[in-house]
Amino acid sequence: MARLIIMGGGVSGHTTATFAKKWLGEEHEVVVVTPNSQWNWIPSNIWVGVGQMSKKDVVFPLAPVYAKAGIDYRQAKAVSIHPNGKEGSDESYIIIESTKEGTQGQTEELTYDYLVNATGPKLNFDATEGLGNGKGELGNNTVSVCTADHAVHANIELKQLFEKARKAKQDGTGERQKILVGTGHGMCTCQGAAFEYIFNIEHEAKKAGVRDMIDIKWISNEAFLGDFGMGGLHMKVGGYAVSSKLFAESLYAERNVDWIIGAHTSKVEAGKIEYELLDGTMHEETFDFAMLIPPFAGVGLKGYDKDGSDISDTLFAPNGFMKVDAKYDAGAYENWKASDWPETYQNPTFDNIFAAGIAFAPPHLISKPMSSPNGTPINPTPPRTGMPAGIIGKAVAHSVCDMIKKGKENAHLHKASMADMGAACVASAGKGIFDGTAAAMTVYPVVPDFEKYPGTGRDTDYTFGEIGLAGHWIKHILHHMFIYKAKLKPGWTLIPE
Amino acid sequence: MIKTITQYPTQTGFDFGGTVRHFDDTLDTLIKDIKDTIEANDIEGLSAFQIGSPLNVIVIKYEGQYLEFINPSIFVKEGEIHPTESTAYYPNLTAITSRAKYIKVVYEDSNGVQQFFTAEDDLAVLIQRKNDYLMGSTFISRLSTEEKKIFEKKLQGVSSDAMSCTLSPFSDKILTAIKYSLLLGAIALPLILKQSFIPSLQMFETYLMWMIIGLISIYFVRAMYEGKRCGVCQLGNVAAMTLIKSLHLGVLYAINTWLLF
Repeated sequence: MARLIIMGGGVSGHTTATFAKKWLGEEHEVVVVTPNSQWNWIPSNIWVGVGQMSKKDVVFPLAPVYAKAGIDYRQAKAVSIHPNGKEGSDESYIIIESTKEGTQGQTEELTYDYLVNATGPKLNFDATEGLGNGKGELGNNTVSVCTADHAVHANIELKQLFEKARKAKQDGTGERQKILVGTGHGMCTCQGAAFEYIFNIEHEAKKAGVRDMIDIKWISNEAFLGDFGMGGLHMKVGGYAVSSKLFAESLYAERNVDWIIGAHTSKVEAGKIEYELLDGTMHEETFDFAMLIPPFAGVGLKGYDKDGSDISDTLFAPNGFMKVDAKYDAGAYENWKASDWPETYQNPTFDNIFAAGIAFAPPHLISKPMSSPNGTPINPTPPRTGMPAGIIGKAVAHSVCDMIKKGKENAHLHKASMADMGAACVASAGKGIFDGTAAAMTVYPVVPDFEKYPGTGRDTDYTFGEIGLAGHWIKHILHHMFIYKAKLKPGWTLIPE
Repeated sequence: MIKTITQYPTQTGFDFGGTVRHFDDTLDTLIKDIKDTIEANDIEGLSAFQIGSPLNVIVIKYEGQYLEFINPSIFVKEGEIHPTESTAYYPNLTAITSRAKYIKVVYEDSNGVQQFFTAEDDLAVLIQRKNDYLMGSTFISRLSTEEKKIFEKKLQGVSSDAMSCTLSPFSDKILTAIKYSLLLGAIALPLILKQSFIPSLQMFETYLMWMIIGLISIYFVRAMYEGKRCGVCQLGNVAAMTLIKSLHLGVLYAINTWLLF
């Protein structure tokens, strides 16, 4: 019997674990180590953040699902990896620390035959002064929608702001409220979540009748609106080619949302941020309510050799994400190729360790790298969430199962390169059965392949976009479909990643 | 080499906005071609797209000097002005646009070194206009609804053939409705997993497929009528589109027959 341990139970880890268990059956053991007791469909957190969904709509308890699937579930966080075992034992193992009430803080060694790192990111709030609380958590100056609890808090603050705006309108004081949404650092990813949140706020403000009392502003590290961390994209809209730049600019103008781009948020205080622009100039922006996405980093896992020496740099890139079969020495932007991107997500040193989803270290950015004259990098980092995370998780599960069943020598490693993978993204711009809108986009490939598709790097036959009510319906249906799938209800395997 | 400037009604293709990655002889040749074309036509500037290149390159002739912007991005826009603009894409036509008065651009020079440029008023407007081409657009996307209507009337005078070869927005809307109806039909299918939903799902899919047949028929009749003005090319497009949508419907019917009926 082989034991597969999956560290992390998010989109990628959950996909890996559930498919691996389905394919391996009772003959082999699948263990999930995740600090969370609940699974969260993160894309819908933005609706929790505007009060259109409750926390219970976007989460469910993991224990019964894993019990049903026959997966050994440990509510704990992984602390360290020991791929060569320890003195007196060659068995690879990890150390986990319980996060479960009653056993919190207790550590345990878990041996493994195969290990998948799908921990997702650490929300690195403290990378920006004042964005975090100095303990790695969200500070008091802004809100977040990165977790369901954050989103619940964001909604409370947002409703208080709406109330202030309503009162000012009634009293005729003319006091306007100012909302700032975007990225809280020059190296953030996940602009999509902030994009969805700002337009949902705008939509809700309209519904609440206070839109005319609120100034809404976007701040982002993108060099142009519509970059989305993918260097922008071309979309076919109504038979015409439209750049995501123009698409986004039109949407912001239409909804009267002002923007700051090419910005690195360097400091956050109560009601005020400081930011540096691409040209190195420093500026300030005030706010009454701000949701700023933090940058991501690895979760802080360490790696140790048999003799106890630190081998973290063998397992992880400097940003804390796990090294996989990517080309990390591609050099300057002009040398970047689609083939730099990992295909199998296998660690180059330890062939029984894989990484999936956000946990793998990308070889480089997708967007064109930029920095200010002061040397501050200001560019979006590559998105690896949602559909790609699920697809990668499934491919990794396939590879590991083949290795277990056929042996390492005979196994076929399954590929899921983001440079050969399309992705569909449905970005909500307001929730409502009849007045909702969402931008539905598909892009192929996620990472541009300039050799295969000279010019834009993408296949425009498979890249399209549309904004409207139908997009919202799709987004809402996807919410229910993916939670259904994650709960492993009948036919869950038929629903694509 | 002097190149031909793309003019209306040639539609923008998908090849635009390509990031320049190699600062080599090919780029130098492209910049030289743009300059030659600017000189030959005595104009203020051109984007690479206007002479058929997909790359993000703009060349502006300002006070006798050439300004070369490679991979430009306007990251600061301040103030608002409403200039009357003209462009080589729409010869002899003007329109009142909405532009930022002051802009800051981050770009690379022809050696690939990151630079910044600040512009105001006319120069800012010119750069913004050329930048629109890098997005596969023209200044038409910067017009108010009213101004757009006026400009579209002016365009009809330029090329009645070109205008007549465009189907009405209503026909496009029918196509969109067909697309989303097909999508809805496919998305609803997982409901089959719940036994109690099956009778309702059968009824829903039946009505939906009849509705799609109706929409395809309406599209075909209307688009054929509109397309008659254009000739064989547009009629061929309509017929092909009708066939494609019918095939999609056929696939939905086959899946429904297999799973539901």
